[in-house]
Amino acid sequence: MKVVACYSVKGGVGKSTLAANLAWASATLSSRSTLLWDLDPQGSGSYLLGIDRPAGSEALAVFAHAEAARPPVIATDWPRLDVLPADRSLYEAAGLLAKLGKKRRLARLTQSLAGRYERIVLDCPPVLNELSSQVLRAADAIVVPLTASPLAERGLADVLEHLRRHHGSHAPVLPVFAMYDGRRKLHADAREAHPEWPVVPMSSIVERMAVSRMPVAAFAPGSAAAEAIRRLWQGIESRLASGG
Amino acid sequence: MLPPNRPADDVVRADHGPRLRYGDLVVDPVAFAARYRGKLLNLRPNEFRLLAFFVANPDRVFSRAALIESLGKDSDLIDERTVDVWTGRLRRALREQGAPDPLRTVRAQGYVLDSIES
Repeated sequence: MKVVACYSVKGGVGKSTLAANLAWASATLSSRSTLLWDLDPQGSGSYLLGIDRPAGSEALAVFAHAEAARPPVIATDWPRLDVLPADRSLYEAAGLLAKLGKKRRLARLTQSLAGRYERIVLDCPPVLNELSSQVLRAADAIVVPLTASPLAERGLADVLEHLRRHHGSHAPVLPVFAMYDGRRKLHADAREAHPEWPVVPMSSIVERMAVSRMPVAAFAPGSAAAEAIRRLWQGIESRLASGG
Repeated sequence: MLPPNRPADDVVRADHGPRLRYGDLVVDPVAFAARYRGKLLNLRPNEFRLLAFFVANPDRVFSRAALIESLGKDSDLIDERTVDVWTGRLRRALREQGAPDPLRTVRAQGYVLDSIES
């Protein structure tokens, strides 16, 4: 079982969109039993896969135990893809984890799900706190979506600095230009500076995900965005698979 | 010999397979489409599967575990809230097209689709 974290210090960079699409790709393109664990209390990742944010506080209750014996997962429309949806109780997650003092609680919880899932995609809120620390500790790969602008590099620098300072050895970080628009000079310049970083194009198709509430490839399989997601996932998957 | 005048809520064999009827609701598993008085319901796959399952099995209370199995999922792994999520969405889709709510929640038991009195 491998854990892929979608993480960004900045909000509004297409993080949940990426998490939902990658989870779908894992379940559908790689035929892996996959869980999207939505840790962002806004619940956008779950929403984009058709699951409304539940009213209760079960999302936080999962952290009370060291093992997730029966996590409240919801089945999606797609085979092999489940969601552990976020709810508003997750606004308290960082505080609870800090109080518990168990630095590897999330890592233990994801490991306890290894018998059920081959891939777990974590959609992490755009914060730097105990929750994001636990996400980075639990991850086997850290996907960092960035807007193609000079400001994005500062966001990435923050993540890398945080990892250096608090995590010593950490999972590989994979920056991705999300919401990329090649017609904009700044975007093209940013890409030129990092031609090795994968690109997911900004398009009306991607924006329509919030209306159709399906992954891009499920309703626009021939689109450039769907192709970009497929390539991105294959890159992540081959890295995970070669990691054992 | 063909039976005369099938009742409206019976299974009607069309050229391309069975169509399920429930009052003014027609569910076509082959076309993966459901219509209320001719108006297409906006259903996602799980909502459609649940509706087809209920219409094919009226007047039986199904536990949430049984309904999860009807979606083709493993009820040992999936939380029972899955059923509430998807029945909630199904009810909303029916309401959008002006269809009455055909599902009855049976406390601590599950859900049942009551057949329509003729």
